[in-house]
Order: sequence, then structure tokens, then C-alpha cells
Amino acid sequence: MTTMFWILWFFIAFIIVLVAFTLRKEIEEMPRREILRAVESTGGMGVSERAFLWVFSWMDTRFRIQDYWNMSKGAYYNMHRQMPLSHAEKYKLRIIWYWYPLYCLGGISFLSFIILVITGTVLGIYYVPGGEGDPSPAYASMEFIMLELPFGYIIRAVHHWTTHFMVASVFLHMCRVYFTGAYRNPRELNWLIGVALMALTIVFGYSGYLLPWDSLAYGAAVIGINLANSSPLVGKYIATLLFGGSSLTPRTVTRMYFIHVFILPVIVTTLIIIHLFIVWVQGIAEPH
Amino acid sequence: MGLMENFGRVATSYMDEKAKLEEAGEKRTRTRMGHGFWPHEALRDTILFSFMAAVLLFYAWLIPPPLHGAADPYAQAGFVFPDWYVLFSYGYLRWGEYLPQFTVPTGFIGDIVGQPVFAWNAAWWGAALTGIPVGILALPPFLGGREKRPVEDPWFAAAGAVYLAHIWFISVFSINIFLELYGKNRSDYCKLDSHGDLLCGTRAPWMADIFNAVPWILTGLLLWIVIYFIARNVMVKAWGSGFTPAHGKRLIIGALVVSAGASVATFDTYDNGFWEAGGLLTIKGLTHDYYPELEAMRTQPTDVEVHETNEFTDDRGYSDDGIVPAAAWTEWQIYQPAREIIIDFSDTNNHQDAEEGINAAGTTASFYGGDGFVSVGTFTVTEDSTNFPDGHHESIDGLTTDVVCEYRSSERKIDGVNTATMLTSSLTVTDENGKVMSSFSGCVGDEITLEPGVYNYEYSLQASGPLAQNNSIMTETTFSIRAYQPLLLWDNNAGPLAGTVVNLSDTATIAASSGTYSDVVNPSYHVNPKALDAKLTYAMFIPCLTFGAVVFVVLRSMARGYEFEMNKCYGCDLCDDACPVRLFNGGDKLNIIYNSWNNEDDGVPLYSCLTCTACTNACPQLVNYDSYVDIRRSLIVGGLAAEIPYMVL
Repeated sequence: MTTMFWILWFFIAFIIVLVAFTLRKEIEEMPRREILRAVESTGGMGVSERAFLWVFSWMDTRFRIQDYWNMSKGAYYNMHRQMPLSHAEKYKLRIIWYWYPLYCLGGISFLSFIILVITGTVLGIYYVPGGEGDPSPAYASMEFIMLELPFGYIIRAVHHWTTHFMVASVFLHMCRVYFTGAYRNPRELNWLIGVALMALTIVFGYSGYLLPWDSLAYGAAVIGINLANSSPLVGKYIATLLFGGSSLTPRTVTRMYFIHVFILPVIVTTLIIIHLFIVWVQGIAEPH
Repeated sequence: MGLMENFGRVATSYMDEKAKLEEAGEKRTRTRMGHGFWPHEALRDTILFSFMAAVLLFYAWLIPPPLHGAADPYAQAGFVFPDWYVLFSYGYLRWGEYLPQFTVPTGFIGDIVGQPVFAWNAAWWGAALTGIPVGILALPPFLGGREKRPVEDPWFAAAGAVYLAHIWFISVFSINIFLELYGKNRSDYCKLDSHGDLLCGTRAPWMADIFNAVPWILTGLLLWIVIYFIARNVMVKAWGSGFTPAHGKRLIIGALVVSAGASVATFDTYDNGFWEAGGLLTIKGLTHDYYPELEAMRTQPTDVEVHETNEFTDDRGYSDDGIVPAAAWTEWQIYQPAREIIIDFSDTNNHQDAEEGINAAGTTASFYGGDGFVSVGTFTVTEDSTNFPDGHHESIDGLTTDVVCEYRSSERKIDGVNTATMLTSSLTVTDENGKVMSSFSGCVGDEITLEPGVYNYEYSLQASGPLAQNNSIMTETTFSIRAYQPLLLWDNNAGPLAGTVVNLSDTATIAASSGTYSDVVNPSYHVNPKALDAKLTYAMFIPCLTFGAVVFVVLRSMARGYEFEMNKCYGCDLCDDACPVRLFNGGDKLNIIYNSWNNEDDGVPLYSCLTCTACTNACPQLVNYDSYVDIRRSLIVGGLAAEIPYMVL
């Protein structure tokens, strides 16, 4: 034990020496101290400003962030602070103000997705994706979450209800986009991405429905695998791809878990970023 | 590398040309400052997030998600119910059971993938039909042409309404098979919620009647709209602009009378004979022979059918009296999904004793390897002397008896072969004379009716093959034979006693009560009335069109208000240049359209306009300005009775 203790202290001392040499070398090569002094002499420097300046210059000497700083500053003032006139503003169109509340639906689904990611991460720490045995590790871990884990059932409940919020807001968002004609030129691509996102949201919901591996999940899995198996020619391959076999096996849980926590999040997160980016670029189709 | 350099050159020159053009044109002005991130957006987002978190936590506390029993491949399929957002797919799956099912030879491709014949079954109907509404969603961007608001394009909004209505009705169809939402002639009902809990309550019969009538009311509405538009088109063709709104109003009322009359006249056919009439793809082959098959498919519990002692049923098999009220359901533990026999499974009235062989027999056993299990014995079937004194059972043939067994091994498979295939079972019930009352193998289960007496049973389960040689694998089995006493319930006329169990030995109560009681001979689940499925299937199609028609009518009236015509304008100012009044004495603010659109219509230009149509002819968006002036003037002069020529739509 004492040996470990000494090794730890030697290691810390070694790091301190290393950092000291680095800083010394930096002082020799870069006149950072002089720049700092020059900036500080302009006055108005409180403690927080000094700290920020130190961190900023430290970053700059290593990553040369001055270029990115100028670029982002320009972008900020060009694109963000000065909003382009919207279509309705530019042509003085009479907007339909009472439709605006419907324009928060996409935001609600995005917020739901964030809440789902957070609560899902917590659940994923305790969930065991195994279907072998009776009761299966998946079911046993669900019992642990629901009965023993402090706040476990409430986290699962929030995850559960947020799913319903997300699906509902996605549906209503689509209705809003359709009935305001916002899917038309130039927003066709974003509509298609939205359709894909809606389908993936439903697959998200279904795969999550199976994870507890209780009797209800098993029944739902039976229906799902029957649907997959019923496809002409490729039925059993689709079933194997999605359910880990042409009949339900313990592997199904693991497969669904992987789809639910890895494949779908990667695809959906990417698509959401693209979806929002296109909205940002094209602007919102205002009701008029 | 050369190609990439060319691409770069092309992109650069494109950007140069674009920059030149943009500089030549008017620069898009940027005047409005956005909101700052701090504190405006941060505060707003915090408030919204907190609100949503509060709502979510409230629901999490109010209705936490259930965790049912562990998944068990051997268990009987219980009550499976999808989340609401996939109900539409579930509905197609259920509907697929009604649609024709056949096989398709798959040719050489089938040989390659090992599926020489493809079975087009209910599951594939469900999967394929689900693909249609999802696939349709990809189409709108390619059908619409230029950007339009729904008010400019009522057809698109109407199509959206039809789509949503169809999704709604197919969802109703999927759950209605369980919920009996449209169940008729029933004052009490019980239903299963998605957690498998039995919920009981009372519903007024008129509610069921209204639900039943909804598809036909919607049809009548559609008929009204269709008749009106067809007649209007005919009249406009015939009379031209002589067809005025006053005529139009009379036409609306006339169409209403015709459609209402037609709906009322055909309602009885719809209400009673829709199934026989074939509905809309509701029955395979449109024959009565298909009913039993359909009914066998619906194994979910819905309602209890009760026959009165003095049995009365109407011509469609309904019985108004003797419905099992909610209290009785819960009191008697009447619930078992996927089975048709439902009564007293918890032996609430203590008339069963499997140990003594009174009205029941059965046991649970286990063995290892090839030991096998055999059980032979007798049991008696008796009438409950407390609730059913001598002589009461005249009207009852016997006691409904469930004969069931099941078995499972601790290993599901040995070398890939299911262990269930290595077990053979047989269960036989015979009466004293050796007459076989029930006999089956493979534990398929049976339901028989036994008169009071003594019966013998023999149950055996034998293992074979690899299972018999492996002494480390345990096989569990259970079998049970249970005869159920019939339910005797006070009916609705019995006042406070209604729905409670009748005790025939309590003569004082019986004498004091003015009501009668009913005898639940075979308390099985009642299935949907046949005509109901036809109505629900019908609701998925024609009544959906009504929603589209209503949306079309509403948007059309909005379009006729010229609001959308105004919004076509993008301010090119050509009408303003062409306007002769404006040119000579109107200054900068005369053209009525241009000023209306700029929210500067003070009404004055309306009377300076010559209706020379110069602005209409100049308009690149084809806005019919002069007819707008005509309409406004007519409205001012004539008020509501003004005769406005039908110009828009």
C-alpha cells in the first residue's frame, strides 16, 4: 500500500515537472506574457475577464483559434444577429397568427428526443439485454429498475411517457406541415427526411416496447416476427435481420436492444441534425 | 484529379456569376435584429422545458408504465395490444383476416431462397397494407407543383383529411374487436384495458346506438355535399351567371332534404342487414358459411351472453334482459382471455374440491428423463345444493366442464429439436358405463357438458427420444378437470339486488323481491354482432371521404373570400402601373388590390375603379382583380342577398 502511495506521488511530481518544462518552453517561444500584459493594460479587466483571457490565450497558443474566432464572429453577426426578413415580412403578407402555436410541435418532438436520450442512458446503465433463462436477465433487470432502484420506476415512466409525447408531436408536426403546404418547393427534401424520421420514431417505439421482455412484449414480438416472416421471398431474412432468427429466441432481446440503443440513435440523430440544419438554411414557412 | 479540379472550377465560376447577379439586383435587406441568447432564449427554453418536465412527471406519477409477467413461450397468448401509434397497422392485420387468402407460386426465385410457394395470408395483408399509408407520405412533394397554401388548393387539404380519417377509423377497427365500443342493446359492459385489467361500467344504450349510426350519418353528409355540387355544376352550365346565390341556397336545402330522406330510408338496411348485404369486402365470398370461421378468430373476451330462464331473443339473437352487470363480473372473477369459458375460476362459491374429487380433479407433477406420469381416478359432478335446490336444473342440460392440461420441459430444445415434440400425452374422461365424454392428445383442451354423476379420468404423459434418455431434464405437467356451477343473477328489475348472486335457499328475499333472476347457463364471451364488423369496415372508406368533403367545402368558401387571391400577389406593381385612374389622379395610393394587399385599403379606391380590367390583364399571377371589385360593390349595395357571380371554384 505504501509502495503504491509513493508511486502515486512520484507520478504526480513527474507530471508537475513535465508541465513546468512545457510552460517554460512556451514562454521562450511565444511572447504570450507580453500579449497578456498588453491586453490587461487596456483596463476594465475583472477577475473573470482575466481568467477568460488566460484560458483564451492558452488555447490560442496551442490551437491557433484566432482564425476560427474571426470566422465564427463573422458568421454570428451575419447570420444570427441580423435575421433575414421572412417571406411574410418581405412581401408584407398577412400572417395567420393563430397558427403559430402549431409551429412548436417540431421543437417539442426534438425536446422529447433529448429527454429520451437522457432517461434512456440512465435506464441503459441498469438494463441487461439478455433473453436466456427464466426469468430472463432482461426481465430481472426491469424488475430491479421498477422495484429496487431508487427513482428507477419514475425514470422509466418518464421515458415511457416521453415516447408518447414524441410520437404524438411528430404526427401533429407532420399534419401542420401538410396542412400549411410547407412541404412544397423548396422543402421537398426536408419532408422526405421527416417521413423517414417518423417511420424511425415508430420503429424506436416498437423496439423499446419489446425490451422489458414481459408477456406483453413477447406477444408484440410474436406479431412483429409474423409480419416480418410473411414478406414474400425475403421474409425469413428480414426476420433474422430484425429479430435474430425466423422464430423468437433469447437473441431477439439482444438484437432489439442493439437496434434501440445503437443503430436507431445514430441514424435518427444524424437525420435530426440534417433536418434542423435544412430548416435553419431554408427558414420556416410562415402561415399566410 | 482532373475531374475534381473541373468541378472546383465550375463551382467557383457559378459563385462568381451568382455574386454578380446578386449585386446587380436589389440586396435583400436585413433590418430585424434577432433575440439574444441571454436572457431571452435561455429563459424561454427553460420555461418550456420545465413545463414539459412537469407534465411528464405528472403522467409518470399518475400512470406509471406496467411490467407484466415474464415472457413465457409456453404460456397461452394473452392480451396483446400495441401502443396507440401502431394501432393502424394492427387494424390492417385484423382486417387482413377478412380478406381473401391464397398462395402464389414463386418460381425459380422461390427455389433459390427456399420458398417455392408464398402464402398471401393475413400477416402479409397487414404488412403490405401498412406500407400503403406510410408510402403515400413520400408522394406529396412530387404532386403539388409550386408552393401553395391549403386555401388555394382545397383538394390537397381534403386528401389530407381523408387520410387522417382513414387512419382514425382503421385504429378504431383494430381496438373495437376487443372493446365492443359499438355494442348494441347492452346497458352494462366490461372491457380489458391495455394492461389486461378488467374495467366494468355502465353505458346507456343510446350511446351504442349513436356510435352505431356514425358511419351512416357521415355517409348522409357526404351524399348531401355530392348532390349539391353535382346539381350546382349542372345549373351553372345551364344558366350561366343567372344562377345566383339565392338559387344556391335553395339548392343546399333541397340537397339536404334528398340526402336526409335517402339516409333515413336506408338506415334499417344499414343497421340490420349490412352484413347480409355484403358490406364492403367484409366477408369472403359473401356467404353465411364464413361466420363461424370469423367468430372463431375472435377469441378475445368482450361481453357475457345471458339466457333468461324463460328465454326470449329477438330475430337477431339479442336478448335484452339478463345482462351480467359489472358487479357480478368482478365478484365472480369472470375473466380469462382467449378462452370461451369464463366463470368462477377462483372457485368463489367453493363448490370445487379437487382433493375430494367433487366437481374437479387434477394435479401438478414433475418427473425426470423418461419416467413419465400417469394419473387415474374418479370425480363426481354435483349440483350446488345451496344455490340450486333440487329441481332447479330442469332447464339445464348439465354443468359446463373444462378439461385442460399442459406440460413443459426445463430445456426447450435438445440438439435443435423442440422437447415438446418428444412428449406424448392423452387425457380421457369417461362416465361410469365407460362411455367416452372427452378424449384428446397433445393437450389441446376440451369443453364438455356433464350431467351430475360419477366420472373416471385418465391422464398420461410419456417422454421419448433424447428427452427420455436425459435424466437431468425435468418435465413439469399439470392437468385439471373443473365443472362450473351456473350463475344465477338478479336482473335489472330487481332493484338494489340487481347483479348480485341469487341464493335460492333464501326464500324470504325471493318472496320479497319483485324482480326476476336469470340463469347463466354457459357464460361464454359474446362476440361482436355480425353486422357490426361490416359497419366498421365500411367506416374505413366511404365515411372518410366525408371529412375530405367537409374540409373542401370550408376551404372553398375561404377561397371565395379572395383572401388567397390577394396573397398570390408579390408586389410587382404592374397593376398599379396599368391602372388608368391611378395614373391620372390617384397619386400613389389608388389601386385597390395593391393597397389592400399593403393593408392600406381605406375603401375609397373601390368607387374610383372603372372596372376596365387593365390590372387583371397586367397581372402575372392571374389574379382576377376586377371581379373582386364587382363582388365588393355588389355586397355593399345588396348586402347578404347580393347576387355574386360564381367565379372562384
